Amino acid sequence: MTDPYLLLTPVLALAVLALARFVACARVFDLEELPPPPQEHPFVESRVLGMPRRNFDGWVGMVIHVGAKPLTVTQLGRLMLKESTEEHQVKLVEPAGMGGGADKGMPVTFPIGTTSDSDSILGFAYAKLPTPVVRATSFTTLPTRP
Amino acid sequence: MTTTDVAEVTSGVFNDDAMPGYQPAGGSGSTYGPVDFKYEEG
Repeated sequence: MTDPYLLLTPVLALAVLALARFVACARVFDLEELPPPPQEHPFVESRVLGMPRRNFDGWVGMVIHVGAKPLTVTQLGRLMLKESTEEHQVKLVEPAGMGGGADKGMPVTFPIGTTSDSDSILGFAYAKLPTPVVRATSFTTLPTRP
Repeated sequence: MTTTDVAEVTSGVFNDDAMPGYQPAGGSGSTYGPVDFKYEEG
């Protein structure tokens, strides 16, 4: 009795039985498929940039009006050059923060660049928010400063 | 700049050191800080 197929017959039979029971369980207990986990999407899809500037150390960013559906912000990012060596702060600002009020800030640290090519854009570097922020319809800004 | 349609960029914003506070600047979709975010819908 050296036929490998004959030796594997019990194993294959058990595998078929297990699969049948698995499928039957799903039907008997009316199990629903789990929805796929939410996907993270970057907000900015493309950009055309001018020259880098180094004569401003305040906050710059954009005012964002959320559309009809709420969204959950999970990560903040900033554009970086290959020569970037400074830690940048990136934060969300509530509408009240536009007048200097309270805001929700977070530090973002970026790696030290290895080249002096000032025109080399690496792209956005991101950091996860400690707690994702759900935004409904209000305005939000994302300033950054070196 | 183009973005997904979950939200709209209505202006750029900067902080003027002479006038602390965030000042809107630029027009809709025309200016933005070098920032982005990642999101999940819902």
